[in-house]
Amino acid sequence: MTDQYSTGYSKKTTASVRMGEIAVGEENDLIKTLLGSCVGLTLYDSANRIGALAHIVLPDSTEHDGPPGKFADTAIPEILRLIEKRGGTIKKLSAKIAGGANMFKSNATSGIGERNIEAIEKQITARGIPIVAKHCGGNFGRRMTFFLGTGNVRINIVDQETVEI
Amino acid sequence: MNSSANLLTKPQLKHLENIFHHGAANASDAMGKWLTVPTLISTEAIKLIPIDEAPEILGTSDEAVCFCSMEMTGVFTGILALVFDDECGLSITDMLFNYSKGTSKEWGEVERSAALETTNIIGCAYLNSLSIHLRYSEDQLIELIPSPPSFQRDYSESILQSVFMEQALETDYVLFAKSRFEIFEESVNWTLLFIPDAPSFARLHELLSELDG
Repeated sequence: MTDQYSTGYSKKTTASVRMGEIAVGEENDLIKTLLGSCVGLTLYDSANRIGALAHIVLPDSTEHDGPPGKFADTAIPEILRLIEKRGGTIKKLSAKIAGGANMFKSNATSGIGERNIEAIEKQITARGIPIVAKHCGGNFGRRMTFFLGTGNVRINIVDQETVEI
Repeated sequence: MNSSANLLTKPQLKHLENIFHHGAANASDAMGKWLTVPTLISTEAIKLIPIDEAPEILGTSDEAVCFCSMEMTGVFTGILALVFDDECGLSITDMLFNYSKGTSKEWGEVERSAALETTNIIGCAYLNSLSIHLRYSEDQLIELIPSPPSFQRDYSESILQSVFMEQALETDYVLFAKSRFEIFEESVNWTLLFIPDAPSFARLHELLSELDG
């Protein structure tokens, strides 16, 4: 996993993705991130067992600076580029989305979590990629772990049962 | 968006640090009276950092933390929060009821109430002091009104990400003040965070410029 926006780990290891980052991996790799209002997006090519996880912060890059992974409108083209570069096929991809919580009243007012989810769904469906699972909303954080061998995504929530999507 | 041009200058940050020292001293007095134990709260850091780094200011542990927060309204808006791990948070109940250390083991109604009331007392003392020392003039105080405190137990990165998310819409940098605690002259894993939101950050910049001028 040596792509520009990965976190610098080698094959068959675990990577932690921070806000605005994207990591790409393949079979046996594992990518994880912690989510509050931000949204984690995984794209997975099950035939080639190649996938990526992006930690998206804002819906739109207009008037903002930052890496492509930070914004829904720039993150998706960048993930697709990185997956193709790794040998994945866009037509074989499926998506899973988690996060977008409203953890504070002020978050609920601005609806930033929902706006992120909507922006990501728009970008994904426009490219004909099916969204096969979602675990979004609520008022709690999520630990999202992406298993590249299977495409499974594990969601850990404090004081709740672990969920697989 | 805040660019480097309108970030706080070093003298302004120093000025702010002095003001926060007063806040911490006032909160120390209030907490000492409330818990009836010798308490010292001191300002550990006032920092401007890139927003992408902000969720990690309390570390990157997978363990849950307790986050008792008050939303500020008035001239400055944002969040004031008391953060601790389970052991330290539960010790508040032990101190308040003179239980031996480690008696309180779970977050029940009494334990949560103890943590929230402690946050309320420390937070109000801190904000009162800031209101006095940040004032425009001798007879014009800064209005800072805290909401009732709320309790969350979650991953610290998830909580802070949500706090700073609103600011990410308007700024690339965030300001925060972090204080540490000593009880009976021993460091405890409690942190007091003062996090003004993006509009307040801009107002703080203006106010400090006036004070400098």
